[in-house]
Amino acid sequence: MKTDLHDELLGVVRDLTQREVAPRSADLDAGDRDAFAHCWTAACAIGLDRVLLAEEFGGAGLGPADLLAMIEEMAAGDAGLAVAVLLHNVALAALPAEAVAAVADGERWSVTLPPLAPSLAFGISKGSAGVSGRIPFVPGALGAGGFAILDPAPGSAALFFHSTAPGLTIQPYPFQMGWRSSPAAGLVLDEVTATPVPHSVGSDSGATRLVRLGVSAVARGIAGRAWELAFEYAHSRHQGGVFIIEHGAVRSLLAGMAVQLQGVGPAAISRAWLDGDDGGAIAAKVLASDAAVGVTTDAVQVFGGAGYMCETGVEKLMRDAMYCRLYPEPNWLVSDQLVASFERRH
Amino acid sequence: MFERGVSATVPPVRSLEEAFPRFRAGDPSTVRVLGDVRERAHAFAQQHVRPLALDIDQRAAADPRYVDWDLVKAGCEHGLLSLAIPSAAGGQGGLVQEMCVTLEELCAACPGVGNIFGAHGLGMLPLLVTGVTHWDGLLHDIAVAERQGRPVLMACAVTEPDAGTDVEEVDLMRRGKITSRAVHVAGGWRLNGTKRFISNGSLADWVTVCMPSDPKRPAETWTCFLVDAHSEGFSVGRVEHKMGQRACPAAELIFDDVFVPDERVVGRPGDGMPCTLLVLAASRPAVAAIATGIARGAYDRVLGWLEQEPTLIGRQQVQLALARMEEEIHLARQGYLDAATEVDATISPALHHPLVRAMRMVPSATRRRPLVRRWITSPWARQTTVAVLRHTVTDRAVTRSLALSSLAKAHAADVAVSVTGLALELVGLDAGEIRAELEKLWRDAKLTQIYEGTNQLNRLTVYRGLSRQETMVALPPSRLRLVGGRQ
Repeated sequence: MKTDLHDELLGVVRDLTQREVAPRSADLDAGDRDAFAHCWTAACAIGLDRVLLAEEFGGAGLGPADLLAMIEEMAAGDAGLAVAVLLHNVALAALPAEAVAAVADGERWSVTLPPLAPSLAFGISKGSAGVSGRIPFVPGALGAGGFAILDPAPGSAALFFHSTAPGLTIQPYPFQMGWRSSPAAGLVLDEVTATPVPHSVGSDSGATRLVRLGVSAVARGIAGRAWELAFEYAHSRHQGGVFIIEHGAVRSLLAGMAVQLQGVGPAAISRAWLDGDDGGAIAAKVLASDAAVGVTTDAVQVFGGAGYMCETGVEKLMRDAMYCRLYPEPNWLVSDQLVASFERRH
Repeated sequence: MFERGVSATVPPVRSLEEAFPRFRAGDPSTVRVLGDVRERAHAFAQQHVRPLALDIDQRAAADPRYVDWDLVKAGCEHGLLSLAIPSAAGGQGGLVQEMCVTLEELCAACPGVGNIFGAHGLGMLPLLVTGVTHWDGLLHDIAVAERQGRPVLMACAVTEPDAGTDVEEVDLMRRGKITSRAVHVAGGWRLNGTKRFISNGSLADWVTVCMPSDPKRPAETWTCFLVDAHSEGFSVGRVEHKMGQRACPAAELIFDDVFVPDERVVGRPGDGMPCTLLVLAASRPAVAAIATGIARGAYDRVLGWLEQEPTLIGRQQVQLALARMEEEIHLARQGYLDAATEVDATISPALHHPLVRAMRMVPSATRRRPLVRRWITSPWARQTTVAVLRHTVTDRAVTRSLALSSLAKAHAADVAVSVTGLALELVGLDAGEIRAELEKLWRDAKLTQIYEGTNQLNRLTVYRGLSRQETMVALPPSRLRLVGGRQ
């Protein structure tokens, strides 16, 4: 629900994005850790690291809808940073109170989701000596202070451990095309002592839904930025003696982008949250990420050759958008889960 | 993490027979077996190019000027620089079909590397369509250097900072802002201006460049020149950081009062625009082939990967996605083969005109003698070339070819983007090196929707050439008339 406070908060995040993040977008994309640290510190300074926490934990006590709106604003500056903020907030929301209290100021956590398809199970098993197995592709794993594992097995409690836990190996990926400011890694656990969270924070509390809707918000932020850049460029570039916005071909591209953006508006994302249904969150993520890939691809097209060059920053949006399609799982993989969720409803 | 070297095994060419029926070129006496060309290119691409593709991409990401010259030299051994050079000039006499089939194979391995050879072919195209015998000397030199393992590369420079789409379409050019300019001086021309995003621009020894001699009438005075990249006043400016196809650098070329002698005007002064249409008719099927190659490269990789993933390939969702990819690639390939066949058939009568055949009978060494050269590059000989073109080819045939080529290009480019995206989605984020390869192909694919005219411009050409059955002025005017002309 829109309130003055909500708008004011978004204004603060927008200001931060424009002032601190957007000017460093190329450095963040190049994997510059100093640039990331600067932006992360700036985000923490306005409380973006504790959005969902109650005030007694130094949090802002805001709801998921506020977090999603803030993530969208941040993603317009840098998607990787927005993803880091999202996963950190979800991780902290999953931790028990004493663990949250132990998280140092400026420390960043990440979170892992249960796999959608059993065939792709990351197969962690819990033995008497600790947790073992492998968890693939955790964004922002490099440099994270700790990890929360949501629903490691159906019906079991969430777990958490620090990045320094004995038995944990963080395996970085040599290549990453999108979200490059949040380098991902696989986590290999060899009898890691992980602390169980007393309550299930998975589907029941909406943590997994929040991650998917968060990715939707990131996708929307990316797409919105791509739209702005393309719209602006179309009003400044001349071809055929007129601004290219005068060409039907360009108008048609921009119109297509606007339609796709409209379909994944904030209303759709908050409705999916309020529905409280996994299927809705999955559908919203598929829709938003497909739209983001479509809109950014068309934005590069509006720029023509210039859009293909890194300096305009549009091609980065296209790469970041593609990762929204692939994380937490590739869009094609959701069909079974999506249908199952609707079957449960009827 | 990648070994630089040559892979020992070459994966088999999939469904060669079905994919490549023998296409008959326009000349009924010549049956070209494209399968052989394809197999040769396939072997080179898989042995030499694919093992290095990711490594080159990474190096060029750090330094956009990086070029793997060893690979270009290896391409020389496989005749990739002389593919389109007529056999009379020491080349392999390939036409658009051969070029396309080769590019599909190269780009299935690495589109950036493929584009080095593709852009070289594009650089030569203006020479080839305006009378190859005039350029015997240079083409012969390129072929000889290639045999010696010394790559002499070409590039074609048309795009300007303020004119991208404008230089591809005559009506837009009339209203556009062209800032380059060629001024006629004693014995030749002085060129000034900047060209942008020129593939091979920083590597080429020779550049075919188009500029107007009267900026107020660019379309009417658009002229193509052959520029020696070692000329005084010629320099390479910025080399771009690109999203993909990084193995082939895109550079800014600066012309600061570069002198070009009269005999290096390609065609006649002012014939640049019709010449451009003929070049585009031949180059757009090549881009369609590049795009098809990219899509096929992604498809081959994902198929190979899925063979190790029985739980995935057993799912109908995956099987449907693969079938869809096969479908799209098949149609894209048919599209470029159809367009290439049409272009070859359109220009073949000119290549087989009695005057051209007579010229070919003169030994190459004789043609390169100064006196004969002076005659060959004389205005009279140029008029005759145009007259032969006018006599054997019609504006309508070129317009139709161009439209078919544009259709193939726009379609294949969309296929490349969608198939590579789908392939990437199928393997997901945890697939290791295959994911990096597919990400690269997806990044590479996007450029095919942009270069050689944006897809939007290509489709407007389809509308004009096919939907409206328009006839564009696609050949230069001729003041000479040969007996029995078609127009």
